[in-house]
Amino acid sequence: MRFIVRQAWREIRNSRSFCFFYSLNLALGLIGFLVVDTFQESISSKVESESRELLGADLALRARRPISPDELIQARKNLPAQTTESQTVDFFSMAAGPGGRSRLVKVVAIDQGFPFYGSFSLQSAGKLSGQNITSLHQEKVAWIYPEARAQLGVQVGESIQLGETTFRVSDLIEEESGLAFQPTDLAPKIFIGLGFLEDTKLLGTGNLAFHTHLFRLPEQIDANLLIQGLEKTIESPEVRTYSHQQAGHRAGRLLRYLSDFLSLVSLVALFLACLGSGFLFHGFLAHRLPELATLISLGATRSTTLRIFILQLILLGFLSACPAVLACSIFLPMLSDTISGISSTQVEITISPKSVLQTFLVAVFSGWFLALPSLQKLRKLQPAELFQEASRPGSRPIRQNLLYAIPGLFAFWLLCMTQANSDKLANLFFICFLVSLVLLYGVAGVGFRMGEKLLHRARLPLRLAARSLSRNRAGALTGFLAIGLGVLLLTLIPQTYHGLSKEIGIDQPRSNLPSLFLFDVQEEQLPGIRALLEQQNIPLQNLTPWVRGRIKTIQGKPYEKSLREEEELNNPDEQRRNAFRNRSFNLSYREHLLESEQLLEGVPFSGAYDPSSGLPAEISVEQKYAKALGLSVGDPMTIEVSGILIDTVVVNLRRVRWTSFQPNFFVQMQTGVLEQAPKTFLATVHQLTPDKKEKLQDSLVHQFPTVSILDVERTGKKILEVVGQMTWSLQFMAALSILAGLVILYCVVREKSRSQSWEMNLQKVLGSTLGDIRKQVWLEFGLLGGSAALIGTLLSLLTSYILSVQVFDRVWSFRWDLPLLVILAVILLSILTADFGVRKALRQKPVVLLREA
Amino acid sequence: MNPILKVSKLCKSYTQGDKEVRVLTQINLEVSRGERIAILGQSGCGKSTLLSLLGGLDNPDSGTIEVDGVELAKMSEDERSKNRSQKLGIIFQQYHLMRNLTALENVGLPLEILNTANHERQAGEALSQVGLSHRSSHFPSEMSGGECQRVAIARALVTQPSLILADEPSGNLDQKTGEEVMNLLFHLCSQHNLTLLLVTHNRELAHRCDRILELTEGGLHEQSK
Ligand SMILES: Nc1ncnc2c1ncn2[C@@H]1O[C@H](COP(=O)(O)OP(=O)(O)OP(=O)(O)O)[C@@H](O)[C@H]1O
Ligand SMILES: [Mg+2]
Repeated sequence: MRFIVRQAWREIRNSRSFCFFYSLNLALGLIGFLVVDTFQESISSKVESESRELLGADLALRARRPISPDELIQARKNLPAQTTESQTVDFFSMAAGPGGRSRLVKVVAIDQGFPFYGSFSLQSAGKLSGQNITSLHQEKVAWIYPEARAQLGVQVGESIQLGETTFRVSDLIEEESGLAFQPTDLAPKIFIGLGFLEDTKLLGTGNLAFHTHLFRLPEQIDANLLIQGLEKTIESPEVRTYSHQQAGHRAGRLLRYLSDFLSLVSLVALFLACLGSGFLFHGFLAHRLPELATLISLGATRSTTLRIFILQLILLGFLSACPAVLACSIFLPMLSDTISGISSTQVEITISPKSVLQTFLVAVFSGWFLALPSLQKLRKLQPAELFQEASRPGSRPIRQNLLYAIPGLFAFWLLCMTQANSDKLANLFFICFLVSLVLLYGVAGVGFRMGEKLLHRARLPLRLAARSLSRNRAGALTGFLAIGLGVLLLTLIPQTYHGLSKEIGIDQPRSNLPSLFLFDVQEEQLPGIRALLEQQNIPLQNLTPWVRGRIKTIQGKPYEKSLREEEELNNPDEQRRNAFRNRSFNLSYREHLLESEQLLEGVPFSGAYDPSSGLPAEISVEQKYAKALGLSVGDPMTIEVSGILIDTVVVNLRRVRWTSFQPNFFVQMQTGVLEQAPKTFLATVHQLTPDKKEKLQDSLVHQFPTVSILDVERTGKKILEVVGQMTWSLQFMAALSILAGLVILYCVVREKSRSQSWEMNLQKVLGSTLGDIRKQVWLEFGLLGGSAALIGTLLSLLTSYILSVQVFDRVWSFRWDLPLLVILAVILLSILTADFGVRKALRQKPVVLLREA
Repeated sequence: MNPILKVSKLCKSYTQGDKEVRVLTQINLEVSRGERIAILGQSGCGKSTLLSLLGGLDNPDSGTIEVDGVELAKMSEDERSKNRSQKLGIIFQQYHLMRNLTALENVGLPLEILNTANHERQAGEALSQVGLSHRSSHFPSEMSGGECQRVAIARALVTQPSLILADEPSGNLDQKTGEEVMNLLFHLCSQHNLTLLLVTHNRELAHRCDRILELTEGGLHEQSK
């Protein structure tokens, strides 16, 4: 054992540059891994430790309608005697400042006692917990976010108009707790006392508001234990129950998606780094084999030599993890800033011992896994070759067995599964990753071989470069993979982002997006609004009725609560499905498809409904919604609209491009059925100058206070901001990957110049000039980098296209400048790296040929 | 007294492509303790192959090799390694020193593998026996071929093995240096009463040994001196 330790230490001491690059490479990957892992840990620990503050209570009932007294009585039967209660109502509405300037805000009306846990942090009143809040319940005052102050042009002390009454702004909010369901709101929040909500007269028939009933349990009673009983007693599927744990879970959801996503990307960086380190180790081992054969001839056993290397890899793993942990503490504050824009909840980021331990484990084991394929060489080593005069033991090529890479890939898959919260996402990622890997590998393998053949008659440097790439395949492939994947990552998000921003049309002067989006428009307000717009010569477009319905039966079977009771899973898809399955839903009626729609299956509506026919009414269902409900063309469905049952049949499925901001609903019915049902309207106003938009908005709010108006441009910008911030963090990972790629490239060149310095010298002896050889190296690595970048870009275009079709409703547009720039930059960097790496070998005098045995 | 080395009916062939090259067909050999034996033969006749089999670095197709009464074929690979470290010293034509170790460390390596306690002192002694004490902290690249081979000899002898296998130790050296190295080897072998199996092309050298064997047509044939 002492011998093993000493020999391992000697190996490290004697191959410092190998150790340096090995550790550097691995450290780069580990940095990404640790940063993201820490991020993830911080979120989940925050969510766990502060879930009560996030909900503001232990338990809550929440519905899009008032919770009935009967339901409350039922609920209370499940709760212990000392339970205290409070409630809130929240909804979107317009608010107007003293100067008449108006904006969409989110009104949160809170009752006494709220929040039971956590507190409000106000600019002048300081920290107020639920019991200490009095002013809000005694006077008509409002607390607003600083954002709203700017948007409405209101100062503290002045009043804002909410519906038919006014509130004096008494303080500004810095931080609040409770009701943390929505990660980012479209509009700033305004808090008022629940007792004054009535006066606003905002909650008419059509206005959609969330009513939340909150419970504080006596101490030491676990909310999660009561939640099941509560769920059973509340029959209506519209009422959702939350324990604080569930609420915390939901609050961290967007951040978790982001961190899931990032952690998978960080695994790509880690993989690349491991690939580089594995390649280095491969070269290193090949270099060491003759001496290992000698060691064996001196009587060391094979397992002893094996242990020397394993020990060495473990030591190097430790060496790489240390700088990674160090660097992480530098990068973390940056990440902290990034996420602050995405989440309303503050997350403090600190490195946990668990993350550090995990990093060390990954560092140590990845070394072991990536050494597996190379160590096979050691097993096959024939020390008898030491007797042969010209042969270097181990230099004979052995067929690389890809089977040895399987444990490593398996470990990588396990890592994916542990790092991402959703198994489906992890598997999808792993498969995509594997496919990209195989594609890159195959393309490169075939490409290099073809290149050699094609360039067979090309000019000498080109021919030699192509041959070198093809003959030195392991190195070339490693470099190719690293650069290809790095470029794929680097260009993927900007490409997707480009598509999105183009669709939202923020930068274009003539966008086809609406300027304003009107909702909660009552039928009786329509003539007035029309008149107002006509005065200013502005058309009201996309007027869409909005009817609330409930699903009664699907395919003849009652649609009951059982559906909702399926566990609310972590899985994003499942969650979306559950949201879809809410029994109440919105629907509308219309004659034709909009330009943002596409018929996928079935036939268009046959025209207006004929009541005398006795046939069911025709409906058109959005494809994803149909999938969630298990509906297909021809299926019957019974819908209840304000107490009346309507028999319908699905006549077609359609795809909707939601990002168009054209008003739309999952279910559309043919005309002639719903015209008499109670409804509100949606509408859009297009092509307004900012000035006109402001004025129109103000006068609309003034005359029709219950109409809500969404400034689409502002919302779009906000979405892009969030996406932009995500892009930033993704680019950090991509940069890490590219950096790892360059280090790998440098190592490939170094390895090449070490193993081929003999050939290069021979070339010199045979009459090539230095310039020739240099040009050949440039060509070789320029070709390598360029082709890898090209393929990487193509793959990223493909991926972003698939992404946009699958996730973003076909928003895709090609952006050519960035890929071009990336390809050129990669070529340049490759050449520079190669030149730098090969310089030392080129400076050697060919005389060394005579000296080397 | 038991022979230190007993070989009977040893066969070895290589496959090259689809052709089979039968290198050793029928080797029988007995070597007693302290004997010095020279093996002669044309290039490519299989001398090195024989040594690699005797050293347990390669496996024969058939036949048995007994070193000090223990049969190599009955040992596991690890046991063979152990056997090698305790009982054998191998000297190669190309020295095969560790490039990154000093002369002293190179000599001490077999002792380290055996986990001997004061390996540095013993290595130092062995190095002084080959007259290279002043070179102990030099690396192989800083020494001449003759010096390297002397280090290799010291390395082979440092564990006091019962059998030395030497494959043309002077093959890479000029005549004068070669002679010096061989003198040293013979001197040390007789001093420590070591058994030596020497492969060489040099008939003169062969005549300094106790017996001369010629390897022809895959078999060993005794030659009179
Ligand atoms: N690993 C191998 N694979 C195939 N053939 C081999 C191998 N090693 C040796 N040979 C063949 O076996 C024969 C004997 O080789 P060996 O090295 O033992 O000869 P030698 O007597 O030592 O020659 P020299 O005096 O030139 O060193 C040669 O013909 C050689 O080509
Ligand atoms: Mg030979």
